[in-house]
Amino acid sequence: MRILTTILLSGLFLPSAFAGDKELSLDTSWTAINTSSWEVVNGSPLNTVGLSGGWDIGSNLTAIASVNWGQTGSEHSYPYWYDEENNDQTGPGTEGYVAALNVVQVQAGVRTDRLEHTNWVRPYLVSRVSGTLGIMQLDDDTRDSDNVNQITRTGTSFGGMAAIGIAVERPRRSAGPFAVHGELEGGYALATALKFEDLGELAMHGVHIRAGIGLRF
Amino acid sequence: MFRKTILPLVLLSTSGCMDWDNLPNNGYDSINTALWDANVVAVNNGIYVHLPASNQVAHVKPSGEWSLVDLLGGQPTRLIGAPDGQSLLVFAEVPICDSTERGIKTVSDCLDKGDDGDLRWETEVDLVRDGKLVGAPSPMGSHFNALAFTSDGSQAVAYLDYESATDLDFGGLLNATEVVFMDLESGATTPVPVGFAADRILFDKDDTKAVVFSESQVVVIELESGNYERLVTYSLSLDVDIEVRPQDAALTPDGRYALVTVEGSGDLYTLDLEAESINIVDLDASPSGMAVEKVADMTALVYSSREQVDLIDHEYFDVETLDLDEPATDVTVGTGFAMLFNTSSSNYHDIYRLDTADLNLVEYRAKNPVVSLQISPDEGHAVAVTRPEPAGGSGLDALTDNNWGVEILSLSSDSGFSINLISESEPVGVAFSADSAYALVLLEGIDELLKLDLYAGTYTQLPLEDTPLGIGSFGSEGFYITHDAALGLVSFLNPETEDISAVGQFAIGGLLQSETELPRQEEE
Repeated sequence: MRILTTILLSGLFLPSAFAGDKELSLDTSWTAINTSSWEVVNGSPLNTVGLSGGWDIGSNLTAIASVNWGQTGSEHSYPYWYDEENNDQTGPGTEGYVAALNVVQVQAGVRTDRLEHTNWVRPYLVSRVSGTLGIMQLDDDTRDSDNVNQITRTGTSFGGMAAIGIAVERPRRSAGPFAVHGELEGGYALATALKFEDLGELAMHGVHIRAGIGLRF
Repeated sequence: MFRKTILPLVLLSTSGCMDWDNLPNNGYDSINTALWDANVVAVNNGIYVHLPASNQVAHVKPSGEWSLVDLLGGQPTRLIGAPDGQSLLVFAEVPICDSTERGIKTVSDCLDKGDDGDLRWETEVDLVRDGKLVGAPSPMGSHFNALAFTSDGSQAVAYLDYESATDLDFGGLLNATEVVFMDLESGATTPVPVGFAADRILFDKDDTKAVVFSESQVVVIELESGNYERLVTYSLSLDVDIEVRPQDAALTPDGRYALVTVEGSGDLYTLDLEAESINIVDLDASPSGMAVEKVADMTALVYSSREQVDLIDHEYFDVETLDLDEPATDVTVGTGFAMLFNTSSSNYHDIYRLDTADLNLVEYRAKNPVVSLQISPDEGHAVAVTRPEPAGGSGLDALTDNNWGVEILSLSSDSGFSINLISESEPVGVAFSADSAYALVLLEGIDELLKLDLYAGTYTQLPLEDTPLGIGSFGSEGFYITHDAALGLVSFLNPETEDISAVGQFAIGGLLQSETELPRQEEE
């Protein structure tokens, strides 16, 4: 609701006869990270959703920025076999444990369109730098609100990504003050690992796919 | 600024954080390897914990601090505490890649880029004190998995305990006829050939000799020169077709004689370590238990199939037999007495105290069959844990039969006085206070520590953080309690103040590892 309100207010304050030089989108992204440590939070591909904005700074060049966030987690437990003979637990922790990750990612970069704004479909190249905050939470007794083993670790990661994409947008001259804008892109993200102190680290590099839909105004 | 202020603010404002009651859960995953092993090793200043999932060792202190021990990339497989109360010895495996290809940094790199057989694992023993590796790791044969220590803890002998070898990977050839002596100060190791399948090592009282028991052979090795020379070899069989497998072994208090019982035989071998002679005492059967009592200087032997206890003096090795009402399988000695009891699956109830000076035999009648028996430090009491048995009566007798029990035996009583406590849950741990005034008892599934007055049989309950798994002592008077918590939980009890402090989280150390690195690759 807050996001829709923001979009509408943006449109009210910046009325124009034609879709202008700004854009605001809701987007979602997936980063496939091929390391086994992500299995702890069942988190690969890492899926985030977010809000991104852009501002044309040249004829085919747009400055972009976004904030995305995502959550993932997994419950770990000893396998239960209906066959009593194989039902031997191998260690402490009858109740197992839950591991969850909360990620917030901010990105900034530039996008360059390859065709004029008179086209409905335009390919583009984009590169972004990114900063990521991860908060890892583990708990081995979720029914106990004061459990000693409610564990929180934070980690940060910095890096960037490059992608090629395709934008779909009604030609601006015929769109009126608002133009619906969609994007789909694929590329590769390179970043330092999210380091969670004694817990270890989660790699942050992998194939990246992003899709977004919003308004240009 | 960015890390400490902006991003957390963004997170808080946008995600609403993750509520502990509602953590995201995208799926289930099986725990194939436990994060920690509750069989911890206690030292004077805390405990060491094996973390099998992350291949680490954690050092946990009562103050709440914990840290991972840097084993230089070694992956621990077994932890053993040394008698000095300070040292930990860690059997560890280290991945080595023999490939000359460039860019190999991890085990998977070696498997991908190297040839078949380029990856191998070397076994070493690491000496750890106060949470830190001391000296260089000592190379060790991959099949060794157990250590025996001299009484002062200065030397150790590595051997193969086949009974506890769960996954024996010896990489081609296994020499089962040698043990390895380790000087724990220098880390130097010396392999010494002994007999086949040596799995019992004893040391004389001055730690000048080691007696190594193996199949059909006993070897005495000197420890003073550092050369570990074989002083004498005793053959237990003159016919190579006849294999004599030692079952139990003990040294007499003066260290002169080694006594060896044999599987499936009534022969008791007495080895004179000074005269280098061997003698055989003929027993009625193969003993199930043997223990040396120092005050009377005699050995007590019991039999699972015979209602008798044999006492053997250490001068003439004459056998004196005392009749029992029920057979005993186990012997535990105190100062001037031996406790005889039966832990077999049969439903015998008798516990005996045998005063070795005058051969006074006191019978205690447990309500249920005995599982274990421990003697208090001042030897005034013994505590036996008993198990349920088929109900043979009604009323309270049936209730007793159907439940576990804790029995307090008064060892100062000649009338067999005992206090019987019925327990709905299985006792999972018993420990004694230093003053022997009370026992600390843990019951399965009960989040309380029972402080049991050994004289009155009454108890008080101390609340615990979580379900207990076991109890042990550390340092001079402290106790630790392990708990059933996946991410690691141990409580430390100060017996004077009854303060219990829980330390958790240590099992997460290294949990997010994904690649096994080759720690010594550059050195190669």
